[in-house]
Amino acid sequence: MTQGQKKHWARALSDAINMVTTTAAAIGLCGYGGYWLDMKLGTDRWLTVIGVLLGVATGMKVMWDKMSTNQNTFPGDKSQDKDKR
Amino acid sequence: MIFGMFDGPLFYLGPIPVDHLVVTEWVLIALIGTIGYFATRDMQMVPRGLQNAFEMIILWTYDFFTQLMDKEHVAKKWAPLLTAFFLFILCSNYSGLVPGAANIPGYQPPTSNWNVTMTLALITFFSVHIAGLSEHGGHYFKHFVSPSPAMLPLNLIEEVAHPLSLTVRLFGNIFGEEMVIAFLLFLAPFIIPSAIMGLSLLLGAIQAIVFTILSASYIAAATGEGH
Repeated sequence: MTQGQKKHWARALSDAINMVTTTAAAIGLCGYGGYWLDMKLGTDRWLTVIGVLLGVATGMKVMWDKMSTNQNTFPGDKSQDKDKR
Repeated sequence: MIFGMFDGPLFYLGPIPVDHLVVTEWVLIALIGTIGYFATRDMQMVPRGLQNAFEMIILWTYDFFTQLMDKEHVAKKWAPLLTAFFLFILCSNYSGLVPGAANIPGYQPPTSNWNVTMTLALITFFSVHIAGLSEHGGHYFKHFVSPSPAMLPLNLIEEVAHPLSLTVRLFGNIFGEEMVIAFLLFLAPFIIPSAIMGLSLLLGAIQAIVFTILSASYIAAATGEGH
């Protein structure tokens, strides 16, 4: 394990847990919201599907945000190259 | 309510009903407070004993949260809250494993009730926005329409999903663990539940760490340069 990897293990762990739990919660929240609206409006599962898709989109947005933030924070992980030399 | 336990109020403080969960929380807070009091009662320049151990732990937590949050002043500002979360959740998770606890009628670990986990998650939710506002001022609200105003619904869903995920994960894990132990105690007392209780030690620590790390991560995201 390189020095850079050691330094950022906590960040990597938090990012991974954050992405997974936020995606799951967003899909659950929007899916249930859609289901509740379907029951209320009698729209035959359409809003459940839309809700789940909205949750998936939120999850993908969270992943995209995390990846772009990490790319700015650790561009190319130079510590690894230094350690190899 | 877990097998054979009743869920009514234990006593009343005026018009306010006080149930077992609240009393358990008071006991845990008193326990943590007492240890803290003895650790800081007679502070020395050259620390010894409990003060030494606590100084080591506090320096480690500052270092850990600084790595996690990037900004040292933000880490120092929020480390006490996050450390308090960790200690409270850890003690609460372990309180169900105290010998004899299962014999107390109505007893259950506070984190196995979703009211408690939601309260902790709501504290995190408000702390995140207070941290963001104190770091960026009014500009903090711009992140709701970033990168474009079309992303507002997704950003709002994300904000609501954070406390929901904190609540459900902690509650689900600890409640599930208590249910498994209760089932096994009912089916095969003594040996088999002991193995699960051993695993519960690990699970309790992991859940406390995950809640703390996630809360720190949300605060770091709100105070980061991206906002």
